[in-house]
Parts: sequence; structure tokens; C-alpha cells
Amino acid sequence: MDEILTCSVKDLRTKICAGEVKSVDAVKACYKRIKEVEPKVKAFLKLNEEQALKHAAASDEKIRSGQKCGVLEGVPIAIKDNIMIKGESMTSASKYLENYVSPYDATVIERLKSAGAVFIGRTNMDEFAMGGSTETSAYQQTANPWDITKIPGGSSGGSAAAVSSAMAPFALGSDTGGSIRQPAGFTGIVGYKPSYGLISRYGVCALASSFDQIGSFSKNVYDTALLVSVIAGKDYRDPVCEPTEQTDYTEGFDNSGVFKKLKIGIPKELSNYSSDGEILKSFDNAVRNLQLEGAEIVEVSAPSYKYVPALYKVIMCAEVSANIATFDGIRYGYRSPNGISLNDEYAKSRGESLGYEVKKRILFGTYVLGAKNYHRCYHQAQRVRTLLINDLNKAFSECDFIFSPSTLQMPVKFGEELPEECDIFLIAANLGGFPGITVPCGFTKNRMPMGVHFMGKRFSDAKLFQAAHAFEKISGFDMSQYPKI
Amino acid sequence: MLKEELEITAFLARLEVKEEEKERYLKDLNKMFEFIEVLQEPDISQLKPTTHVTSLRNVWRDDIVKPCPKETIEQMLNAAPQKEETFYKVKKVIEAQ
Amino acid sequence: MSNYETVVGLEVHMQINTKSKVFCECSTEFGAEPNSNTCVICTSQPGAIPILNKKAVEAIIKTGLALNFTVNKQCTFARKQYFYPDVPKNYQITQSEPPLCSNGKLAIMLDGKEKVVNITRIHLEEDAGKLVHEIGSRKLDYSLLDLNRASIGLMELVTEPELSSPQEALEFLTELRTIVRYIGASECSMEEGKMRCDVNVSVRPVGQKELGTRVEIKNMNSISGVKDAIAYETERQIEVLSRGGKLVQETRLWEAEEGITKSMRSKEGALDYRYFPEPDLVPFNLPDSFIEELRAQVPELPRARRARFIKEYSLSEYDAEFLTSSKQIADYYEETLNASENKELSSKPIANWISTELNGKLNASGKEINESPVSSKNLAKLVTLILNGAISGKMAKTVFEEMYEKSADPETVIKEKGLVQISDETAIIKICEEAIAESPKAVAEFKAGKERAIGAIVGLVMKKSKGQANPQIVNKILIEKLKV
Repeated sequence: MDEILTCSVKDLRTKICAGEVKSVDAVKACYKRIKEVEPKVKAFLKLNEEQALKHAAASDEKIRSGQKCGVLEGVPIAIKDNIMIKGESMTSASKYLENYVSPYDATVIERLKSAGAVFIGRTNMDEFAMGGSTETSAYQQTANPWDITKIPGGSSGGSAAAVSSAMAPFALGSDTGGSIRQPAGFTGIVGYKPSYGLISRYGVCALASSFDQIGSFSKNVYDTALLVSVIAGKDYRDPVCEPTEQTDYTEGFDNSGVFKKLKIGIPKELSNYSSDGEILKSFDNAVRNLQLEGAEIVEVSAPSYKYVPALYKVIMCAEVSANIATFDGIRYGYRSPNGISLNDEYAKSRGESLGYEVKKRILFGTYVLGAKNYHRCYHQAQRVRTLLINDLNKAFSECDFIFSPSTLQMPVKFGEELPEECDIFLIAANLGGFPGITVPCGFTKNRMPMGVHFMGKRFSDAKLFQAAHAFEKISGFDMSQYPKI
Repeated sequence: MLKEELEITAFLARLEVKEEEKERYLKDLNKMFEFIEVLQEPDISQLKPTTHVTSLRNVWRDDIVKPCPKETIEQMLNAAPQKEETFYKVKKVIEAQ
Repeated sequence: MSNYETVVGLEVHMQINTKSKVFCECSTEFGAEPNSNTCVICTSQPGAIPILNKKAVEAIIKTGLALNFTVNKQCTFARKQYFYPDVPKNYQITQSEPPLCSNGKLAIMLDGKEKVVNITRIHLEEDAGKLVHEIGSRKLDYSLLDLNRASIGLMELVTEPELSSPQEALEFLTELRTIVRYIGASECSMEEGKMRCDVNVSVRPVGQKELGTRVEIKNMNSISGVKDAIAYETERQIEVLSRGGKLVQETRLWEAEEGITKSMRSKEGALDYRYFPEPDLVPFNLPDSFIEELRAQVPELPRARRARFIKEYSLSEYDAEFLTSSKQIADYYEETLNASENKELSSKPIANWISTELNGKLNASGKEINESPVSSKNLAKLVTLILNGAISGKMAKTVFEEMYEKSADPETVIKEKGLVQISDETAIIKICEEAIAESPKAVAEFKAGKERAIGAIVGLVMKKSKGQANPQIVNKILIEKLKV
């Protein structure tokens, strides 16, 4: 495969900036690969080669004329289709937004633009990010590059598939309940969700406002840290976005013996769930490797892990029911021609353009917020959420990171259901606003990748990268391998 | 959940639920209601709800006008399913919806 | 009828006086081209997030402090969900429990007696857009949406059901408006929809504890309308009850032209606002220092100032009432007073000049007092000139005219017009002697005891002196001369 495609972002940006590799060639390489594998993978909802090449040429010209180049000058990146790019379509994989054109740039997009990154396409996802398989997309089914009969995971399945099959060096996604880390685990790449409030949510189509975070997919931890250095930090347009001193998240990566100073917590509750044998085996192996590196392994306990699926469903659906209400066919988006009154038009516009999963969640959310249900449902959930957070903070008083398999099951075939508890260790991070990162740790007998998940204390993201980076060196996972599609 | 409750909920959410779909919705929603039951079991009598995980407080901006660019306003209006002059055009609104 | 009493509670919405909207940076300017003051936030484009305007919070807390409220230092926002085209998110950002301010009171005067009305809460919320149903006289069979008003800051104030007559409601709203304007929290101009009011009316037999069936009259936009609507609704309810009918709890609309309220049917069980805490905006934890700073900014309120004016400047109830009716007028009055040489002597004349001459001219030219061409300094000079006899009250009116037209100072005007009063006795004696000589008839009548006859002679003197002779001196001299 073209070495541009196997090259890390870290090296690619240096080569482009040094003029050794042309941004235009990098973009062309991506599109060459896309033409080969995209027909089978279907990771992208929209491609714009012409525009990408134009921007790439501009970067090359900048470099040629000796201007200072941005941190990601000329580097191609794929963007999940729920993030706003001014003047580009943004569908969130929903029929409702089929013809919608974004009137503004998300904060992360503004920052990527000024860093010189080149957007090569918009990736597929579950409709409004509601799903864990990318199958609820109103437009297409994305395949897992390692086995195209299986799901890539979701909701950011398109970004995961694009990066894991080398169609893009890295990509942006959004993670509300594991939507980055679960597909990253399913496709054998690095997936990261920041601490809630580290990266501005301004311009990402809202799912559950109190969980949503923008995050990234890459083939190694350094590339993610590099990307985060560009997009993280205070933004007055997102009130929950916190001011942070840290600006360079790639610091301290060369330190050896990172684990000698670390306590790694293994959740006792892991054993309560039936999980794939091969996953457990590779996880035990990963734990052993950490031990060999001098990490202190401790068992931690958070009994309320068992409430995670219920907590997530109740709170997420409640917020969904409010956030999706704005899609009413009044100011933009789909308006049904069949409405006979205003209320009828509302119901039909939404009924005809939204998918079943979305409507089901809206109905559930509407119910749990109803005056007579609120206390028993939503309010109760928010209190149990406190219980979970207390449990996890107690666990964090005994360890630096909580370590688990990224998922408890392997990706299923299209149309098959994953068990509720499959990614509770990922979702716990969203419920508590904790940062989490999945790193590949090995392959199953039939060549499917598996991953592990590090979850850290709030705003320990930099430390999290160092640990994940150190782990990636000892994971034994060969990153130079690509799926044969 | 019963059919009537589904219909009321669907009206509140302004979602058309076709007669033939109701069965399926009821089946799936009633399954989801088990989640609510699960959440009744722990003792949380001493706990406050977590509405925000952030410790930030009093986040506000100064009273300064930054007008939206004209072309952006135009683009937004042109995205309207129907408009008249610079108004968004909608079905007749009867006082009490 | 007399054996029933009315119980009224008010929900007052006042548009907060800020340059930008409460949750976005669009202008709040009134009467702009439809949708020209909108952005990605107030039209609720995907991915948009509200950003709170600090000044709106301060305005509400100041109002709360002025009305003896408790400020809830820890509170947050909530989403109130209902589908309506003028609410782009299909939820309104507001506050449920607790609001920014709880348990305040406002005292009103009713024929000399004071009544204290308890106010439940003041909270911060965003306004909705405007729906247009007709263009001019042309009724439309569709509706048009203008979002310029959407997401402008509102303070909603809710009273206890303690008002017991249309007049009380009127007094309450008038006093509230004056106070809120004093604070500068809202312009409260009802014609611009910046003060709107929902009225809850019920009646009950005198002596009964529990409240009767409540009727809500929505979206009143004039204080007199509120008064009339309560009067009408009271009668209607009593009428229904006294013929053994039953009242339904409902929402009604005030039809100003017909002077009646009409029921507005709303779908049963359709209303469930599904409030929940707003996740996009972080909660408040207001430090005491912040609240104290605001307390320091609350100005002296109308009633206190009224009392002080009466006491300090020995003004009449009437004058004090007028002068304190707005902060600007009261400030102008005190500026003028401070600029004048003799406060005791000036306090009343200045009050008169402001309430009659100046006020008249301002009204005529549709100006506010802070736009007055006559500066407080110049008005002070004018009154001083009158007091030390430099010009007569009659001349002063002419001088004032000029001062207003040319926003000139009195001295210049007097010089230009040569309007100096003659107080030099010898000069006046001379004119008086001529006048006496020229009016034998009047002289005779006067000597015959008809005192009023002197008026004619005075008139002649003033005529000869082109009105410049000092009237007091003229009188004195004429009497001296005629009595001999």
C-alpha cells in the first residue's frame, strides 16, 4: 500500500511541512484508496475531491513560498457528518437534513482550518448518532473493513471504517455513549473521548447535551494527542467548555517507564458480565503486560456499574426528546406536503423524515419527562447517576486509571443485536464526564481486532495519553497491518 | 404503556405514529420501561441529582452586540421550506395549539 | 353582587433592557426588518448553544433587591417544552425551582391607605418570536414568523393572588413599571410589547377562605386593558355563579374592541411542559460580593424620593408625584435646584416651571426630559433672575420660549431682546406721573373709593414702559401718589 497511507500523521505533517511530500499527493493517495475500498466499506456520505485538492494545493503553495505552516498543514482528515462546516451539507445521516447546508463552522472546524488541515469527506453514522452499529443511517450501511459482513460499530462507524481501512489518516467523531471508542475497538484503531468540557461542542449536532463530546480516531495515540492539541481549549461559545493550561498534549510521550508510577484499576464488576472468551484472554494478557512494565494492578469496585445501561437510556432519551424537537420543518429541513393543520404538519414532517430508532427514543424521552413520570424516571436517574459518579470517584481514589476491555463482545453481523452491557465501561465515562481512550490490543483467531479502554479522572487527559501511548508500544498489536478488503 | 398513552406521548412529541406501527412501538417502549424499574432499586435518599458534571459556575458574557453576517441570515432564510419576503412562512397558527 | 369578592394574581413579563439578546449576540433593537436580528443560535440551527448575557442576570437581581426579594444564589435554567413556531427550539429556556428571586413585596397606595402586595418570584427567561396573522387589514390564511424578538431576555414576575380590585391591579402595575424604569431594568413600553401581563381572576363569596375557580386572561398589553378585563371578568363570573352556573378553569382572551373576554379552547391533556434542567448552561453560584455590588447600584425608589421631596423641598403631594414619576424628571429637578442660588426660594418655582412650561413644551415636541433644549443649569439661572427681580414673571415666559427654541441661556436672550426690568424709582415715578395725568377718569373713580380703577393706570404705565417697569414698584408709587 502507498506509504503515504501507512504513514502516521506525526510523520506526514513533518514531511509535508518540509516539502518532502506534497499535500496534493497525500490527498490523491487517500482518494485512490477510497476508490479501491469505498465501494465495499461505504464509510463516506459525501466526498469532495476537487475542493480537497484545491485546499491541498493552497497548503503546498504556502509551504513552497516559505510561509509558516499550521500544525496540521496539508494533512487530510475525515469529518463525521454531524459536525458543521460552513457551506457544506450536514445530514447527521437523517432524511430530515437531506438538503441542509451548514451556515457556520463548528469551533473544532475553525481550529482545524487555521491549523491547515484538509477535509476529504463526511463520514457515515447512525441517524443523529442514535445507535451502535451505523445501521440506523438513513443513507447507507457501513461495513467493518476487517469483515464486511459485520458492523463497524457506531454511531461514528464511518469515521472508524475510514481510518482503519486507510482511506484517511485520522478522523473526527462524536461520543455520547461510546460512539467513538466502541467502533474504534471494533475496527482496531485508537478512539478517544475527552473529559466533558475539554473540547467545545459548538457546532456538533446535539444528541444528549450533557454527554456529547467531540473526539478522534487515529492509528496511534500520538496522532490523537496532536489533534487534541489543535482543537481543545476554552471556547466562550460552549458554556461548559473549561479553560485549561495544557496546550500541547504530546508532552511526556518519550518518558520510559510510565507505568512504574501508575496504579491500574481493574473493575471487579467485569466478572459479572458474560463476555467473549477471546476478548477476556487478550485483556488478561494486556494486564500482564502492564504488570511487566511495573504498573501496580489493583482491583477496584463500582457496584453501580450495573445501572449504567438504564441510566444512559433514561437520561439520553430525555435530552434527545428536547434536542430533536427543533427539527420541526419550520425554519429548515423536511416539511411534509401532507399536513392539513400546523400540528398535523409537525407530526408528519417529523414522522416521515425521522427513522424508527430516533422516534422510539423521542417517545421514551417524552414519557420520562412527563409531569407525572418526571420524579420517578428522570429525576431518579439523575440521582442514581450521582451514585455511579461517587462509586467511580472512590475507585479513582485507589487507582490512576480504570482499565477494561473496550467492548465485552465482538462486532455482530448486520441486523443482529449487541447485548446492552456490551459497552458499559465506555458509557460510564460519558455519565461521569471522564476521559476515555481505546487502544488495540490484539486479534482474534479469525483476524478481528480487539481493544482495551483506559478511563481517567476528569481532566487527566494528558496523563491518559501518556499511559495509552506507553501501552500501545507493549500491546503487541501490529499497527502496520491493514484489513484485506 | 397502553395505546392511549402512546398516542398522547406521540402528540406531545409531534410525531405521527401510524396505526400499523403502534404495536411495534408499544412492544419496544414497554421493554425500555424495565430500565425505569431497575433505577428504583438503589437507595439514593441521601443523594442530590447530577444535572451537570462540570464544576464551572456563573458562565456568562458581557452585553455586546455581534450581528450575524447578512449573507448568513440570507442563507438561513433561503433554507426555509417556505418564506415570504424576509419572513418564515408557516401554516395558520390558531391561538391555542 | 356585593356578597362576592374578586381575587387577582398577576404574571408580568418585562423585556430586559439590554443591547444584545439574553442567549445570543443579536441586537434587541425594536422594529427592525423581519428576521434581520437573528443568528444561528436564536433560529436554532443544529449545533448552536445558548450563551448567557450577564447584564440580564444583573437587571433581575437589581429589581429583586429593590422589591425586597431573597436572591437564590444557587439556581439554574430549565427547558420548558412545547411546540410553537415562534419558539425555534420548541422549548423555552426559563427557570423552574428555584428562580433567581423569591418572596418579594411591593407597597401600593389606595386612596391614602398603603397595601403591601406579596410577590412570589422573579425569574429569567427568553422571549418568543412574533407571528404575523394579517398584513394591514388583509387577514392571511397562513402565518408569518419573525424571530427578531426570539431569545430577547425577559423577567417574569409572579404575584400572590392578593389583589382584590381592578384599581389595585392598575396601581400595582403602574408602581411596578415606575420602579423597574427607575432601576433601568426594562423600558416597560407596552406599545412595543416590552411589558405584557397574564391576569388570573377568580371570585368567591365574601368571607370564604378557599379561592374560587381561576380564569387566566392571557397576553394583556395595556394597564387600562388589565383594569377593564378584571372588571368584566369579575362581573361575568359573579353572573354565572349567581344564576347557579359553574365556572370552568380556563384561559381566556381579552377582546379590547368589544370589551369582553373570550374562551380560548386548548386541546385536553395536550399541555405538559416536561421541564428539566438545561444541560447547555452551567448553574449559578452567586457570590455575596456580586450581589452587594448590585445592591449598591439600586437607586432611591419613587416612593422614598416622593416623600423626601415633600419634606426637604416642601413641595405639594401633586408636584412631588409629578416630579418623581420618572427618574429622569426627578434628577433634572434636583440638578436644577442644586444649580440655583437660593434653594428654599427656588424649590417651588422650579417645580412649577418643570411641571407646566417645560413639560408642556416637551410633550408638544414629543421629547423626553433628558433631551430638553433647556438645560437644568439655564432653568436655574432663569428662576434666579425672576427671584431677584431682574425680570418679571411675564417676561420670563418670553425668555423661556427663546431658551427652548434656541437652547440659549437666559442672559443672552434678555440682552438680545433688551428685556431688562426697570426698577429705578425715579424713572418709574416719571412714567407714573404722565399716566396719572393722562387718565383723569380712573383717578377720579379711585379717589371715589373704587380701588380697582388703579388697574387701568397700571396698565398704561406698563404700556408706556413696554412692560419693563417692575409691577410691584409701579403699584407702590401710584398708591403713594393717589392717596395724597
